Amino acid sequence: MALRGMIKTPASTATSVSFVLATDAGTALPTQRDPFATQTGRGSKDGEQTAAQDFQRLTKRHAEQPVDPSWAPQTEQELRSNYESICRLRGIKLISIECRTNSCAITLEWPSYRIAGTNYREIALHQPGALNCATEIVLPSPGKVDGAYRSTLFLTRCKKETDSSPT
Amino acid sequence: MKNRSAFTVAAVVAAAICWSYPGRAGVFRQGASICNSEIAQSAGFRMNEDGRITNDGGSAIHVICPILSTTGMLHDQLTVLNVHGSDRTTSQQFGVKACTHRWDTAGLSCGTEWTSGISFTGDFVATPDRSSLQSHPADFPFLHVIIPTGSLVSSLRGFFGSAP
Repeated sequence: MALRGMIKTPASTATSVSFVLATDAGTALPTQRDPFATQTGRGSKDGEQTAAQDFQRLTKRHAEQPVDPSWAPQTEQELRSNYESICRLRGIKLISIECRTNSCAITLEWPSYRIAGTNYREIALHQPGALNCATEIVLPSPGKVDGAYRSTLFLTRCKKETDSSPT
Repeated sequence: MKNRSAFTVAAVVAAAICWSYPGRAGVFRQGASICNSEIAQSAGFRMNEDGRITNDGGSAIHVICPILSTTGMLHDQLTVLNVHGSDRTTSQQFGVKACTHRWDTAGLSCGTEWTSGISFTGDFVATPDRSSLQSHPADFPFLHVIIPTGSLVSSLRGFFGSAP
C-alpha cells in the first residue's frame, strides 16, 4: 500500500520504487509459479493443470536418477515393511516402491479420490524408520470422481539417520 | 538552481529506498499455542496456560503449526527458522519438518526431518530443512513436529523466523 502512494512522487522516485517492486518479484519466484496466484482469482481449472504438471515433473525427475544397486533394492525392502502396516491400517493399497540413487517413488491406491484427500497426509508425514528423506505428494484431481485413485509419494535426498545430538 | 533540484531529487530517491527496504525485512516469534494436534494422533496433546504444548500420553504426538507468510516475511525468503522446545526423554526424540500444503489441490511437500537425537535431553533449538518452503512460494507453510513421550514431560515452546 505504501508503494502505491509513492508512485505519485516525482518520476525519478517512481523509477526507484519500480526497482524495489522488480526486486521483490524476482526474488519471490524461484519456481515457475506465481507466488500470489491465490490472490489473482484464478479458477480451479488452472490450479489442476499446475498440479498435473507438477506430478509429471516429479515423476520425470525420479525416472532420470540412475539406480544404485548397492542402495536401491535394500531400501525398497525396508520401505515396504515400513509402509505396508501403515497402509493396511488406513485401507490404502501399496502398489509399488521403486528406489534409485537416493530417492524413492511409492505408488499408492486409495478406494476413491475423496478418501485419498482425507488421509494422504498421514502417509506423507510418516517417518520411514531410520531413513530421513524430503517428501512430496501431489493429488491432481481425476477425470472421474468415482473409482480407485492412484498417486505417488516421492521421497528424495534420502539418508540414513543415526542418533546424534543437536548441534 | 539546477543543482538544488538534482540534490532534492536525489534526496527523495535515497529517502524512498531507505524507507522502503527496512519494511521488507522482518522477524516473527510465535508461541506454540497456535499449533494443533493431528486428529488421528492426539491422545496426549495438552495445551498449557503458558502456551507450551506438552505430551501427556503414552506415545509420541504429531503437531501442526502454521507459519506466517506475509509481505516482508514470505516463507520462501526465510533465512532463519528456529523451533524451540524441551526434550526430556532418553528413549525417543523430537522430530521437526518444515512443510507446505499445496494451494491448488491436495498435496504437500516437506524438507528432511530435524531430530533432537534419542540420547539428547534438555532444551533445544531445532533448525529444520527449509528447502520445501523455498521451492513452494505459492503454497501454505507449516511445521510438523513430533513430540516424544516419556516419564518426564517434553514440550514445544514456539518458533522464530526472520527474513532479510
